[in-house]
Amino acid sequence: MIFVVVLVFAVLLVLGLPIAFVLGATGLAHLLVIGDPSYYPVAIQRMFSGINSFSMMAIPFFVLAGEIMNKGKITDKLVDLARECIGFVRGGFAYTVVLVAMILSAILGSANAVAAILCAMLVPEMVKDKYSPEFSTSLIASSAIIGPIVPPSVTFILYAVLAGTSVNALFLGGIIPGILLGISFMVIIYLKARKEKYPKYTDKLDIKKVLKALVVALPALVIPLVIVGGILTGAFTPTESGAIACLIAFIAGKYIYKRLKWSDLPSILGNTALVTSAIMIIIAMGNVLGWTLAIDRVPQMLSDAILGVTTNQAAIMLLILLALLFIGMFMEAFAAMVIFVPVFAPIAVAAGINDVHFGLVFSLMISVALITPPVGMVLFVSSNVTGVPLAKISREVIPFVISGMAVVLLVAFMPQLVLFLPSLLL
Amino acid sequence: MKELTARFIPAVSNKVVEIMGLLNKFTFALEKIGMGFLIAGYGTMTVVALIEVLRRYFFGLSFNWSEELVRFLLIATTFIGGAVAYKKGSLVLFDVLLNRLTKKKSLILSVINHSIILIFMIFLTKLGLDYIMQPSVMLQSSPGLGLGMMIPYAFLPIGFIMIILFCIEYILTGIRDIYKEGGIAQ
Repeated sequence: MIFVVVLVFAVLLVLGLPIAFVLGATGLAHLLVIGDPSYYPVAIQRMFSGINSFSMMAIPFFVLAGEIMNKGKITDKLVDLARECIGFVRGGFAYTVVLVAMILSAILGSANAVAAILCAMLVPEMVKDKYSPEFSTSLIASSAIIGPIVPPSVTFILYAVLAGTSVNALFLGGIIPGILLGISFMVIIYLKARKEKYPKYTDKLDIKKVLKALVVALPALVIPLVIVGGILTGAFTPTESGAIACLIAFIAGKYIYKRLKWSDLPSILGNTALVTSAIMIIIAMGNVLGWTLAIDRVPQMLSDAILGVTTNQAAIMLLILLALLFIGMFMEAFAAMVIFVPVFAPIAVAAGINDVHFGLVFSLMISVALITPPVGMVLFVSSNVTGVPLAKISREVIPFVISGMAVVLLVAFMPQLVLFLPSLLL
Repeated sequence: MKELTARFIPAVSNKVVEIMGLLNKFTFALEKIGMGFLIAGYGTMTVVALIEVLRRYFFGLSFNWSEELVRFLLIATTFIGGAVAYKKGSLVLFDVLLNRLTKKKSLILSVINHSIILIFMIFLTKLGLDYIMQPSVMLQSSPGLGLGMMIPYAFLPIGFIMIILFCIEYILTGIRDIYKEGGIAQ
C-alpha cells in the first residue's frame, strides 16, 4: 500500500503539479486504497484543523512585516549598516551579504523571503563588484537559510504546532545555531576571497560612518528587538509580536523613512495573502497525507524499524538526519515537516533526546536541505530571481552546503548550543 | 459531406471562442473578487489582532471573539488565496520536467496536469459539500462568535470550486494553444 502512495506522490511531483495538490491528491489516493468510506469526511476536517490554530496566526504577520519592510526600503538601510561594519576586508561585499541576511532573518520568518529580497537587490550590485553571478546567487541562497533559524521563524512555529514544543524555547534556541551558520558561511567566503582576490567594499573601517548608518537603521533594528524581547519577557505571544512588528514596520516606513504610502497597503496585503496562502495550503493538504499515513501506521513502522536497529541516541540522531537529508532533497520544507515531524519527533523523545534540541536539529537539517542540489527550494527561487541556471548555482553552492552540514552535526551532538539560552532565560 | 464539415467547423469554433471569451471574463472577475476578499480579510486580521494586543497589554481586557475571528479569516483566506495563487501560477511546484520539454510537449503535459487537478478538486468539492451538510456541522456553532461552523468550513468547497473554474479555463486555453502549435499529430 505504501508503494502506491510513494508512486502516486513521485509521479505527480515529477509531472509538475503544485506541491500542495501533490500532497492532497496523494492523501486522497491513499484513502481510496485504504477503502473505508467512513474516513472521507475526516479528510476535510484534517485540512481545516491543520491551519485552525492560534500559533499559526503568527505566520501571516511575519510575512506581512517583511512585505512592509521591503516596500518601505528598510532593507537598504540594513545593507548600508552591514557594509560600513564589515566592508573594509577582502571580499567585504560577500561578508556584508551574510550579515544582512542574519539581520533580515531576525525580521523575516522564511528562507524564500530572504532569498527573493536579497537576490533581486544585491546580485546585480555584486556582479558590478566583480563577483561571478553564480557565486553571488549561491551565496545569497545559502545565507537565506539563516532565515528560518534565527527568530522569528515560520519553520519553528510550524514545528511547535506539529510537535507540541514551546515556540519560545525554539525561538531562543535558534539564536546561537543561526549565528554559527553565519560564521560558517563567512569562513567559506574567507577561503574563497583569498583565492579569487575579491575586492574590498569600503576603504577602511570608519567608526563615524558606522554610527551614522546605525542611527539610520535603528528603526529597522527595533523590530527584531521587539519581537525577540517581547517573547523573551513573556510580554507577547509570537502571534502578538508579529502583529506589533507589522505596526512598527509600517510606522518606520511611513513616518521615519517616508517611503510608504497608504495607497501601498492593498498591494502589500494582497501579496502577503498570496505568499501566506501558498504556504498554508501546503500545510492543510499535507495534513491529510500525514493523517492517512498515520492510519496505515507508517510512523509506527518507521519508529519500530529505527528503534529495532539501535537504541543508541547518537545513532538514532544520525539515522534521522540521513533520512531528513534525503527527504529534504526531494520535498518542499513545509510539506516535509507536516508529514515527518509527527513521525520523527516521537522517536527522538523515546530515545531521550530533548524536544527543543531535536526541534532545532530537525529545522536546521530541513533548512540546509533547501539549498541541497538537485531539488533545493531556495535554489529554485534564487535561480528564478537572478536568471542564473540551476546547474551553475548547484555547483557553486556545494561548499556552503558542506559548511551548513557541519553546523548541523555540531548542533546535533552539542545540545548545549541550543539549550543554553532557553535554560538561562525561560 | 465536405461542405457540411466546412460549414460546421467554423460554426463550432466560433461557438467555442464565444464560450471561452465568457469564461475568461468570468474567471477574471472571480480572480479580482478573490483578491479583494484577501485584501479585506488580511486588513481585518491585522487590525483586529493589533487592537487585541493593545487592549490586553494596556487595559488587561480581551474580546473573546477576536481570536476566533482571526483564526477563521486565516482559514477562509487560505482556501480563497490558494485558488487565486493557482490562477496566478504562483503555487510552488517542481518545473524541472516542464522546462525540459519542447513548447508543445510542455503544453500537452500542463493540460494533463490541470486535468488531474480538475478530477482531484471535483472529488474534494464533493467531500467538502457532504461535510458541511452533515447535521453535526450544520447545527454546531462556534464558541466565540456564535457563528455556525458551516460558514468557516464552507470556504473549503468555495475555494475548490474556484480552482475548478480556473482549471477548466487552463485546460481549454491549453488545448487551443496546442492546436495553434500545429495539432497533436505533429
